Amino acid sequence: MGCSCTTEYGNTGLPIRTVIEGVTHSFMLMPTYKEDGVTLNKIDLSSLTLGADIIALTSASTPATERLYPLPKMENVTKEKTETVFETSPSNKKYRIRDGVRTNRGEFWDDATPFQFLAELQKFGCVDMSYFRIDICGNIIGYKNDADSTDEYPIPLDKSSYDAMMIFATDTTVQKLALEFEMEANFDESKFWIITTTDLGYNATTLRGLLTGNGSISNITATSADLTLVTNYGDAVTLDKVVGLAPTAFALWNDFLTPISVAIVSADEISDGVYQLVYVAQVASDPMRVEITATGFDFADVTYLAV
Amino acid sequence: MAKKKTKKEETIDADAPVVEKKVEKLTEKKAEKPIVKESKKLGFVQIGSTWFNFDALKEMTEEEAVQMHTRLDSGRVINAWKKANGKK
Repeated sequence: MGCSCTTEYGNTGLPIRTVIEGVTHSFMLMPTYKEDGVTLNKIDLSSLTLGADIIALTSASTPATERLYPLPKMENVTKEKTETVFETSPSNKKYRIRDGVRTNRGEFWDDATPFQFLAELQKFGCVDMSYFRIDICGNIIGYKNDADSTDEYPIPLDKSSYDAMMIFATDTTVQKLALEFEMEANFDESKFWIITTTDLGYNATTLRGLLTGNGSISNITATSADLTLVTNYGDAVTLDKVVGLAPTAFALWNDFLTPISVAIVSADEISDGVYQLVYVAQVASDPMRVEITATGFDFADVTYLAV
Repeated sequence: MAKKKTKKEETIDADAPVVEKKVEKLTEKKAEKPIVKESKKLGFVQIGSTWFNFDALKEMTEEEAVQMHTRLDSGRVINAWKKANGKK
């Protein structure tokens, strides 16, 4: 219930076709604010390419502060709400003070519980985040300020309540990773609106988050450099390699004064995850930068000095 | 005293000849337009395990291509360069 009491009466009819939310499949996180720290992130419902827009928002080409971060399938999702707070007068009359607080909680099970995933989840606890719910039907649930609004916003969460924690395996249970956060207090739940699979053109449970990729440069010659690409997953000794990238995944720049594109003459995956890039010789000591663009990955640029 | 024609009247009066002239001019332009074949972008072509940028190979001599590929079999580089440049 909202704080406003200006509306007098609500109409109580129901349409023949109602759109209701199913059981929660997972959450999709989104920073509350854009880079400027003021403008709210949102989904533009008026777009004729709504489904494609949302997929684009999950990709590395979208700035991290405006990106959607879909989480893997969750188990045991609960969204319990504490009781509304009242004060009872001496004459036994109840006065409503405030709504209860809704806590979202869910678990990732077994192979979705590497420690590195915990590290990624913990990062979201340091910034103002909001979330969409994705139900098992593939719908996305956020909120709109008015029925005729064309902006769907992620639901704000209380940053200080955000917590991700390991639940270790026992003789009878698999390892789990629990995620818990409270919806912002006093949020009006009647503002929720559902973006359906029909609106999207696909099932939102198919949306996937990105893998963090890391690159390093070695064996630099006048006309070549070896680029090694790994994810931040694997074991303590060997990180998982990023294999099979096409040469179009790489863009080489000479950043001396102003960035100039340097044509890659050839690219060869000389061993798993190690790409030898050959290019026309550059001036020694010029700052070089490799941009890596690969579907499903979020790579930081890799820099080195030409020799 | 002759009434000054409005712009609209002038357009109506001149309708037929203007249309004919326009059609002629368009036909002339079409005929004059030179046929320019855009150079085809070749992009990357995979030979063995190596992806060669054929557009870049077209911009250099065979020797230059071999020299920059210090860690690749020269035979494969020459083969790629020849293919990029349409030579046998």
